[in-house]
Amino acid sequence: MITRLSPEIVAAIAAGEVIERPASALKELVENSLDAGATRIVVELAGGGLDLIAVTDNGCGIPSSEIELAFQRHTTSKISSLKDLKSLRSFGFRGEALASIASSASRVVVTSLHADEPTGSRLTIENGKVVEHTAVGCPQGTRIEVYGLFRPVPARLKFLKDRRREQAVAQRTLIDVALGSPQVSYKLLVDGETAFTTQGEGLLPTYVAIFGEETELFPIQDDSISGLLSLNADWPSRSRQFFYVNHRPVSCQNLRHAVEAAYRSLEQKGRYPRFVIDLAVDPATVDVNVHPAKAEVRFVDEESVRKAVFSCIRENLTRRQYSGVALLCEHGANDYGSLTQMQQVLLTEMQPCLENDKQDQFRLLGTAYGRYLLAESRSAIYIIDQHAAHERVLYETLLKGSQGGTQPLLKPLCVSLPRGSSLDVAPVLTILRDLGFEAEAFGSREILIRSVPALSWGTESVNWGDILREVLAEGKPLELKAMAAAVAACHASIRTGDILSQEGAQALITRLFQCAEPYRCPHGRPTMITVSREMLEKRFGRDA
Amino acid sequence: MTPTTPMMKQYREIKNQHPDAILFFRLGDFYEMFFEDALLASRELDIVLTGREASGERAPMCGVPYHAAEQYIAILVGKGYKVAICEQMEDPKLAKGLVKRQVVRVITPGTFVSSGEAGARYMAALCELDGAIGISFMEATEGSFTTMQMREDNRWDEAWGKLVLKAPAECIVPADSQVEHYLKNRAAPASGWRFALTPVKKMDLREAEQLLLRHFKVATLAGYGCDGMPAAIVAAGMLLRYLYETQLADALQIRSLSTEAPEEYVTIDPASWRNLDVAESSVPGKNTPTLLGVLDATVTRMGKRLLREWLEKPLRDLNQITYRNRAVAELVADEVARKKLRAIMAGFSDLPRLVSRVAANVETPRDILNIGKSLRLVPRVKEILERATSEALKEAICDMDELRDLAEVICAAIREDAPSTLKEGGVIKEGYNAELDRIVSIGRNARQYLASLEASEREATGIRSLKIGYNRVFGYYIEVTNANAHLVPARYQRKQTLRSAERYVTDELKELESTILSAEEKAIELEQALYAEVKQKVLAHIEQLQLTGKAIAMVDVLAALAEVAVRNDYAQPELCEEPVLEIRDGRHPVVESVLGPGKFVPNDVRLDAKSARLAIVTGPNMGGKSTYLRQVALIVIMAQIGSFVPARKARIGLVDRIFARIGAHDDLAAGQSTFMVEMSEVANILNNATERSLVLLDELGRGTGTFDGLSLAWAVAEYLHDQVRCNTLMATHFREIIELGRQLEAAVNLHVAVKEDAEGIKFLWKVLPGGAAASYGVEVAKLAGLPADVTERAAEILARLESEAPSRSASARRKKSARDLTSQLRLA
Repeated sequence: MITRLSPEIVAAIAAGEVIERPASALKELVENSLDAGATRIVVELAGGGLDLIAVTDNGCGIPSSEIELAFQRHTTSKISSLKDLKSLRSFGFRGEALASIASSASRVVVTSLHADEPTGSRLTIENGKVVEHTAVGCPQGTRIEVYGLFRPVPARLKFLKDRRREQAVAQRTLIDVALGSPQVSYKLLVDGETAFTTQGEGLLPTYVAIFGEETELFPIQDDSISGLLSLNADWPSRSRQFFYVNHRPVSCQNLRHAVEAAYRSLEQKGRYPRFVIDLAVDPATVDVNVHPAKAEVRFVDEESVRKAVFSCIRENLTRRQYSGVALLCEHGANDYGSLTQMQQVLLTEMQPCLENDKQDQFRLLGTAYGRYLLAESRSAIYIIDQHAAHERVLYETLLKGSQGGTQPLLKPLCVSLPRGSSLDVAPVLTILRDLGFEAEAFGSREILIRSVPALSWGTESVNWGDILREVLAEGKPLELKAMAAAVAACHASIRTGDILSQEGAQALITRLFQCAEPYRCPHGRPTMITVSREMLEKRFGRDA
Repeated sequence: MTPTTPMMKQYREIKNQHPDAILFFRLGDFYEMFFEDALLASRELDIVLTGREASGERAPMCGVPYHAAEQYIAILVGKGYKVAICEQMEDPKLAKGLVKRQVVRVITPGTFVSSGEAGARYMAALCELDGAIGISFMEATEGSFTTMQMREDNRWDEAWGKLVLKAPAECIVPADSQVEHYLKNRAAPASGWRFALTPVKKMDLREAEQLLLRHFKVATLAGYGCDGMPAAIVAAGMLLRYLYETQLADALQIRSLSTEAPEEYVTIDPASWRNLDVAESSVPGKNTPTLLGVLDATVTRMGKRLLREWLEKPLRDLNQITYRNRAVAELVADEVARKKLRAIMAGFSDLPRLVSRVAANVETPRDILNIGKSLRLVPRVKEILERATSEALKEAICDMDELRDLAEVICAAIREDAPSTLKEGGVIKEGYNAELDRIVSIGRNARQYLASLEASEREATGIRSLKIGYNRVFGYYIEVTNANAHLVPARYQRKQTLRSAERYVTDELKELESTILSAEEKAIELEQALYAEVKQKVLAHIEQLQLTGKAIAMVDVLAALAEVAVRNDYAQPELCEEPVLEIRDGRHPVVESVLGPGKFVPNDVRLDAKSARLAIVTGPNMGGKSTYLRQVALIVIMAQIGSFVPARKARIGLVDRIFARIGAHDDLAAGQSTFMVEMSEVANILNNATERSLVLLDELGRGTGTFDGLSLAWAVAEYLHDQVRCNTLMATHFREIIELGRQLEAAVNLHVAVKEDAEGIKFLWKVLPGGAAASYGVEVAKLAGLPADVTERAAEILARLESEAPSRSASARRKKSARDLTSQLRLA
């Protein structure tokens, strides 16, 4: 049977298009605060935003006479004519956000004191209907609390079960806004704990306050492009990329490609640049009305914007970057500061790019300094630290347990737990057995080892006694397993000066690439450095 | 009851030397107590009372295991007892006859340095000499030692105030002196602080001076600032002597003496201190939030203690405050440095406490290791501080001593998992001492040899299934199944029979076992010697360690204040000498943090001792008057300890004292009613406030009849305005006082704004100029939930009373009688 939907349901459904998740509601509220001229915005999130979203600002406030109107549909203070859309400077303009939020939440409480009024007012809306509007004492500005978002729309709530995910998205949304308007100070409280506080002192301090001290970015400032750039593509994901048009967070695939292209000569697969880029454009030449969440933008002249961005970034990068050996020859070392800085850049440039390589296409070139294996593949040259590589291989083999079988010792080995140590024989025995040792108690604090895990090669000269003693001396029971594996790997491994045979080296590299994490030894040091073929061509100027 | 066994005789001898302490008599693994001590301990510690035969008599006895002794000592000391620790001075196995015993330490409530506690524990000494009272404080954890003396007329009150503030666990006084008498009879304050009063032998000035000079190895006390302060010197001497007597050691951790000059700090009497919820809740026994709680973002324990000290002693010198303030500002601006510093400092152990424990000989190897680890962090802290420009941070670098050699030695010598005693070995790291490693490996080799013995025995006997095993009771053995028992050679000596096997030992086996055991013993002995060496090295550097600890604590506090300033949006105050108080959009730091964002309404304050010094605040209760008053005081305190303040802008004239007469709590325990308490506090204020003080009065005259209360309030306000002339904020429910506000030339009226509408009244919490229009008492009662019948009837009566308002002449009459009352009130 077809029936007409009640107005509340209509509103809720329509609202769902504007407010699809807590992050959208948060974005609308924070942008309203910015439009109100706030200099300090405090955001509280609980339950990923599904239990509570609260935004408090010290902006101009809402006059008590207008506060109810604000929450009705199609009401806004930001534009009044179509012409205004063309010269849009504010963030919000649709006139739908507050109404949508009110329809989608079980309760909304707005407390506001307008600059020109003596008394503030508090409006309470439950399930879309105003239930209280009263005078109240409060500081100047506006505070909006949204309780139980989407509880009136259970179907929507079902899609948003993962609170942690919603929390992350909402937090990211706030960061987007914060970096676009860094002259405002922000404070984010998540479930009562402070997540970050910024002081509104500008872009770089705000970035540092949010993300902690990472290798710094450098600021850029051209006529219409400003922001921060990282020196290299040094981040494993695109999570540190922020685009703005007139301080409004946007996403634009083409622009992103343009920026990443500008980094191309230094970029390796799996590494992305970090940047915050804000484009100042004439509002008449950009359309922000494309999508309800206003994220995608369209430029009137997209091609020229792209070109401008590309060349600006390119220029800034080349002005600041060291391109390694080739440039060194060209310009001399003095132009680039200390040698170690340059070395660091060289190191970050050369990142592993294994995805395209299969091990049977390797050609061993030799061993450098008795320590580094040199191998050539179709797309890159690999410099591999044989000790680190062997450690990694052995580590993962050991952790897999006694799959490789055991090897009985000629003489049973007696190992004692250190005096005064908190370790007990029984748990240590368990761990050793898990690793593939055959062990039993042999004293109040001694252990007798009868066989050891078989590690097919490279283990002839292993001194298990020393290894185990070292491990037991420093291990804490819980990490013993990982520690045991790590130290065993360390001692069992090939050392500097051991020259591997062709087959040995080949086998080592093959096994290394089969590892779950081939780039690092168990202690965290890198196992390999790659110089891609492409980069070589470019360095030698052969990429014309 | 004459015990005749030699041991009991020994006990009696030793006990007679310490009649006033509970004697912990070491017997093997236990500390035993006998006779009266046993009865007492059994009761207080709730442990089992047993007995011991002593030539026909049963002596009551109870004991505690030695490794758990600390917790029991803590309980006894907490109850005010003294504990004398009597140890066995020689190895019982080697002793001929009775084991020598000796008291090594007397632990008193004041000298107990525990391993767990983080807070400060004070000990005080009081004496009177030539009309001055000397007080000396010692803080066992930090090793700090201060002394001071008071001469003014109200010195007894001041002394008492100082004691209450520091709340020492033990107070030493000359026996049978006026001081002892005074302290015995002085009622304990409501805060529940209890202390042990210990009378000691009198000490004269020369004795005290000699002792101090000798301890510090100096020729004159001028360097410590107490020269010419006899009472202070005697008090300090008494305290030091007591420490010697109880520690039976040289009190190595006491390196210097500082003399407190009360003029250096803002004086806040105990009542005001509590009323403001600075570090203790104003409601005794409750755990309400305090300013200390809001500001405490420190990451080290010593930082925590230092912050509390700073709050207890706000500075009065502009230069000293600026010194701190600039450093805080620098740390506010340099986000990265601040975060890095805090992350590194979080890894520091409680350096002063550890050093004290080493000096007092109660440390564990882990304590020393932690000293080493903390020292290792110092270079990293210095590195970050290197780019600082503020003086305080730059000077902190100089005070931090990396003591690299000491750190390296400690970290190379002591194992991470070292146990808390030296008796079982496992303290010294491998690789530190070649001889030790050799002995250990002998033991290890012996074991390894044992293991390989299995293979050789198998071969020798032809018993393939022969096994070498170990069991705690019998030690090492060779196990052979019954089936093979007949193949066992003659040299096998049977030791144990099992159901399906026999176990044997051989001479070789026994020899190996004893090698292992003796190696263990030798190793332990060597470890103890090596450990003692390391400990000596630490003792040689006590001063540097303490200084480093102090410097880290200071950096911690500065960084914590900066962190809180950023989190809570505080501003840097401008400090000046003029007696002004200009605060824009000020907030109460504790209330705003409790309320949460966007709830607290900020307010301005404008006081100037020259032209507008008395601010009268009227308005309904719950309207925010008390909060307004309190936030002014807290902002001043925060400014004067060097912190940023919760305001948009602030210009603070330095004050010398703060009086806060806020809240009404019956000190019933002390036998005083509300009104009496109130009047004593007011008397204190009127007698001691100067024109540079800050006075806050809330609801004066509440505890008595309306006319009396109003008269007193009026008169006190006039007096403060005319005579004392300091900045005063007076919140009152007497709207008649608004008239006074209009009359006096340097007074202003303020009120808390309220909005009245159909539903009742709404508090706006905004402080605006002018007197309150009404009291709104009935409306507030309505809000509180009084039944409508009652509030309506009250409104009727109120209307009638107001229409019969008394004439002006009556009010003048009241004023005159009030002035007489005030002069009578000036209590000495």
